[in-house]
Order: sequence, then C-alpha cells, then structure tokens
Amino acid sequence: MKNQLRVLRAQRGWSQADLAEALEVSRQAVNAIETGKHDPSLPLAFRISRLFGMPIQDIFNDQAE
Amino acid sequence: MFNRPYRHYNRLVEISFLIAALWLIWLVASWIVPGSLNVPQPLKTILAIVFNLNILLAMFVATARFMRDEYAERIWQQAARRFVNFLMIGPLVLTILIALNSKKITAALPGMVPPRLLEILASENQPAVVFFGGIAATFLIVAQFLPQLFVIFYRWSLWRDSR
Repeated sequence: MKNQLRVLRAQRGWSQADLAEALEVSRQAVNAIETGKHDPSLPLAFRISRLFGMPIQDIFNDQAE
Repeated sequence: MFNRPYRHYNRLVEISFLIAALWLIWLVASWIVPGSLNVPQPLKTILAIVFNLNILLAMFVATARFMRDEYAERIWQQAARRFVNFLMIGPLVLTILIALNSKKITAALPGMVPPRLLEILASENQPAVVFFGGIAATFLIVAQFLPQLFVIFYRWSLWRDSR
C-alpha cells in the first residue's frame, strides 16, 4: 500500500527514529511502512493519522481504488 | 530494556544471529578438518561460555512476544512458517541426501561414519541405545540447535523483507 509517510515526516523534519518514538514502534517498522513493505494495523494507522492530524485515507492510498 | 522493549528486539536478534553464525561455522569447520581450529584454552573457554549463553539468548528472542512490535511480529510469523516447513521437510531430505552420498562422505571424511537412521529404526536389538541415545540427541537438538536456527531464520526473513 502506498503512503505519504515519508513526505509528511520530511515536512516536519523528523527522522525515522523520531517518528518511531512518537508511534511507539521500532525504526525498522517505520522504514517498512514507508517503503510499502508493511501495511500497518488499524490501531497503528489511527495513531499515525492522529499524529499528523490528517484522515487515514489522505495518508494511505489503496491502489485498488 | 523493559521501557519500550521493541527498540532492543532487533538488536538482540542481531547479536544472537552473529554468535549463532559463528558457532555454526566453528562447528562445520571442526567437523570437516578436525583440529583445524585449535585456539588457546582461555579463548576456548570464553567461546564456550558465549556459545552457551547464546542458546539462552536465542530461546529468549524466539519466545519474547512482549518485545516485538507489529512489524517484528510479522517477520517472526514469516520466520516461523519457514522454520516449520524446514522442520517438516528438512530431516527427510537430509536423510535421503546422506543415504545417497554415504560412500562419498566416508571417502571424503575418513573416520566419520554417516548416520544410518533407517538401520537404527529397524533394529530390534538396540531399544535401550535408541531410547537413551534418542533422549540425548533430542535434548542436544532442541536445546542447542533449534533456538539458534530459529534466530537465523528470523534474520533471513528480515533480510528478505528489506529487499
């Protein structure tokens, strides 16, 4: 699943480690999500949504649509 | 360690993996060329302690669910699936390969007798040997080999996922 996580993170000047700290996951998890290797669970997707103050569908793009 | 343990999980896996890899290389090298890895006794003692502690570390990382975040859990599941497939198929494949190549193995490694698993299973005269030998072998394999093998599978799954 494609997502805007890397762009949103860069806009805020955060490192992957910063984002991982805020989301309470490992840096490897953030990297895997950013590169589309791992689709986050719904609870984690909501945490990401709250952190960036954006709706989930604006961050994650279901390619099936 | 226990505050946000997911931070440390992959680091522990890396440490365990490196020690397990070193242990396997050491084991295989000493089988192929006996005495080729003669090291001073103090170093040998240290290595033995490190290798044995790694058995506990591998057991820990393989079972420490509380240390995994959701990504590590997904990698763990991939590793577990590959590990189970290997455990189901591996022994049979290994036995067949050894049986087919037993003459070559004996010629290449003088003094090393390939295991004759089928003969042992068919033997009616060695129930005690098979029983106690089986317990010892099971303990060695389960306690020493499998946890470290699982760590290797985990690290391989992580590597595959990163590509």
